[in-house]
Amino acid sequence: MNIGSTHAIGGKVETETLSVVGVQVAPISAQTIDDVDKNVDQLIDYMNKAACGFPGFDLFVSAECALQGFHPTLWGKVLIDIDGPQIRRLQDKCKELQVWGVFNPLIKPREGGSLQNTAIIINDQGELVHKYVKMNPWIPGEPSHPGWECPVTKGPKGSRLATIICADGDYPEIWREAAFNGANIIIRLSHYMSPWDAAWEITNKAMAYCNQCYVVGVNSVGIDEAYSYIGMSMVLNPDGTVIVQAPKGIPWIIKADVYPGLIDQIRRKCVTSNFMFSFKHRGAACPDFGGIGDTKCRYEAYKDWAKEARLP
Amino acid sequence: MVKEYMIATHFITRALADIDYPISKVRLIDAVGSREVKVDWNEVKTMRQLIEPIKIEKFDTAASLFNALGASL
Repeated sequence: MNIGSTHAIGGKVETETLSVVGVQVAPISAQTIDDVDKNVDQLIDYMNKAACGFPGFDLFVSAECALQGFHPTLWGKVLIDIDGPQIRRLQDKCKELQVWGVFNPLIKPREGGSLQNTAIIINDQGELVHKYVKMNPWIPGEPSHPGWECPVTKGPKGSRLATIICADGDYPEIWREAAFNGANIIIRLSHYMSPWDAAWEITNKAMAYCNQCYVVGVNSVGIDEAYSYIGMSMVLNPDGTVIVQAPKGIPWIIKADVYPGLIDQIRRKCVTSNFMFSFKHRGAACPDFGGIGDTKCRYEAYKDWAKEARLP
Repeated sequence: MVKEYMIATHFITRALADIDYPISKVRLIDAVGSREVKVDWNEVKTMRQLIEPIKIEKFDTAASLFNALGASL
């Protein structure tokens, strides 16, 4: 992995090792809560496999829709409560195995309103410590309520975890938001389908590089009423290179060790290619700006959020 | 058919996560002996019960300890 910049980086790096397991499975495209319960059985089984095959692992990551699938017409019948029995089973399992877990329930909000496509993180005590609602639903097919923030949560072994969901990853903004908010690992839970096989790979690699974060991308497999899900789950270095990648289209378990402290060192000590600094300090080496650079937002796309893109 | 998973090593690994090597058997038991681990879904033992039967007195690396544990289980 090529970390660092043109300038040498001095000093020692202190980091713990975070062992991550990602599972790509084919969920039942749930039509009843019984189907959802069977999907939870499958996830729990894979958590047991992870403990058997990779003893002592820290973080278990599953795909988008691993609990419920996404039936094109019956998805509304299988929404669950954030504090319902399915989530409690996953909480109990995380506590039993002493591992952190990342899951994607499609939630029926208590306060009413449309479904929330949600990523949750459960810690090794079985506590729900992170909730993210997908900010960029896959419109027009996905009618979920768009999320409003990209939180970053302290995870195990020095990690700071952000979650994004599937189509989120097609938008550079959400990746930048996660890194800007302090993430050193961005977890992308996906239910990404053919024919966007190349896009899955390209976006994960490019956004890991552009935001200098580890990326854990876990994707579904299987074929439902509409699509074939491509798998190709992957863990990437902060320079966009692949640490491990699952094959296309079949259930698989990937495992990688990552070093969150390295990202922190990049942020503090890199001189060139320190994107978290340079994107807000354009031209900082130019004498005209006193060493700070142009700190105004000059992008038409972002200056006025109400403004629409120019069409040809 | 009931699925069987070997999960003892997962819990033992987590119980030993803060141990540095090399370490003697005596110091190891001092440090972690009272920690309880699942050796099966419904069976718990202390680390002392697992380490004491090992006939090696010093572990230079994690690998040497885990191999010794495996051999004595």
